[in-house]
Amino acid sequence: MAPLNNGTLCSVDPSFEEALAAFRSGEEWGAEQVWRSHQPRLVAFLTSRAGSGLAEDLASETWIRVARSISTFNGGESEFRAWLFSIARARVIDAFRQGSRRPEELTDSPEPEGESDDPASIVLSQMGFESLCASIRRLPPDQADVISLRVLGDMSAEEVGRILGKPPGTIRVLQSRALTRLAREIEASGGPKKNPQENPKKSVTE
Amino acid sequence: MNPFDGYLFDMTNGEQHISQVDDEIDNEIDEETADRMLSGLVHADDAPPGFSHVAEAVATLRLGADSITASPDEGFISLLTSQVLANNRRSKMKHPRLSTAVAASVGVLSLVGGLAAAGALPSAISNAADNALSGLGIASNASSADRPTTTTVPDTTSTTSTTSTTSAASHGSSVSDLAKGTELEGRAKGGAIASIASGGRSNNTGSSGATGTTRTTGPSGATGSSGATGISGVSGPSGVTGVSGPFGPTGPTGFTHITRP
Repeated sequence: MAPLNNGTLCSVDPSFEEALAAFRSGEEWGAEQVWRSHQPRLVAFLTSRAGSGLAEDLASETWIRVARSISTFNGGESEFRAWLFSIARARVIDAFRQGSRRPEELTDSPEPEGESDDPASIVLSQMGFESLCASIRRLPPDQADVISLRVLGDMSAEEVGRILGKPPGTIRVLQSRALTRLAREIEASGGPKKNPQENPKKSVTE
Repeated sequence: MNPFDGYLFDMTNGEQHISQVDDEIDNEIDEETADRMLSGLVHADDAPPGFSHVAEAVATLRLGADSITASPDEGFISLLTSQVLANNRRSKMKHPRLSTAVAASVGVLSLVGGLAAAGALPSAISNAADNALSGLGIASNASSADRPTTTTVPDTTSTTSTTSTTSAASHGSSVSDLAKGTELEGRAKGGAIASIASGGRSNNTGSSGATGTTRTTGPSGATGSSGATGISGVSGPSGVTGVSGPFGPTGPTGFTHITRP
């Protein structure tokens, strides 16, 4: 909640723009709100591109970069999200260039969890989140970026195009090829898993 | 039989993967369906043949991302804000230097403007300096009212237009009108023009005298310079106003006067 001028707390959540302005001026509540609103998707994206072992480290590096440059940022939530994921993507590329960190070739690593009758949970149990992220990492990098940003970053083709520096038409071609390729990857890896124990639920902390 | 039949070889991140090609998904999914599928708008049951498990995968990925919860660590948030504040302090420290640079730029422009007003600079530089200063809200000593104004007058006898420069007293236009007029011809016309252009100082001793003589005496050269506005030392010995280059000595009726030295 945003503090009012008299120090009391506002009962209505401030808009993202207000939180961003507070973050820009160095107020902790603004930084926290912006972080909360984007950290889950950021970690999901980084998990798909670098693996769960590196995702949170890279997310932290990304946020620190954001904090160092936030004073020069202008724009709303959409622009901020594009900027954030651009930095994150650059962190992934830098990490791999350094050679010390490689994208994880994850195999299915079930995390024991109770069975559920929830259809969503059944889907999750059949095709685990992290094993799907591993399938995405086996795609060509530009296709993997498109899938990750579209699905895990929850972005439109236009927003993905801005991040990757490609026109929306090119992004649509790429995502079509990526899905075709992903279908083959999933087929090659045996299709939907019949392992009811894998569940991607996780909690992210810094 | 080719041992690679039915297999797709590809290179990803430097590693070779072999994926068995499923005949059912030989064709690419169309762009519109792919876009809708990635947006989570295509249920597995409605997916094209061979893509139902992809639709499931997209749903799984979305649910997986949504299920990640973020619990901020106060220390990390403090680290972020300290980075922001440190960067803001660095930005403020840069401002004095920026102000100094702006002040220095204005000073240089003022100096150039002063020189321009004193007539110590060529016209092009002078005009540029005046424009720059006026953009900053600073007027040079030679105000625009004191300066000849340039207007473009269509030349009725040629396909090009000529430029006539007038002083505040419309001196140039008088010369131009006379030049374009048909009351006088030849040497008489030239003499009359020269007399008006030079403010009576010319005695009409131009060498050619027929339809006006080309004189390019000023620094602007190509377009000619003359004594049309009575600036001493600029007009040529004939006193006849300069004629723009392209017309040459054939004696056009239009005039080009560039009055600022």
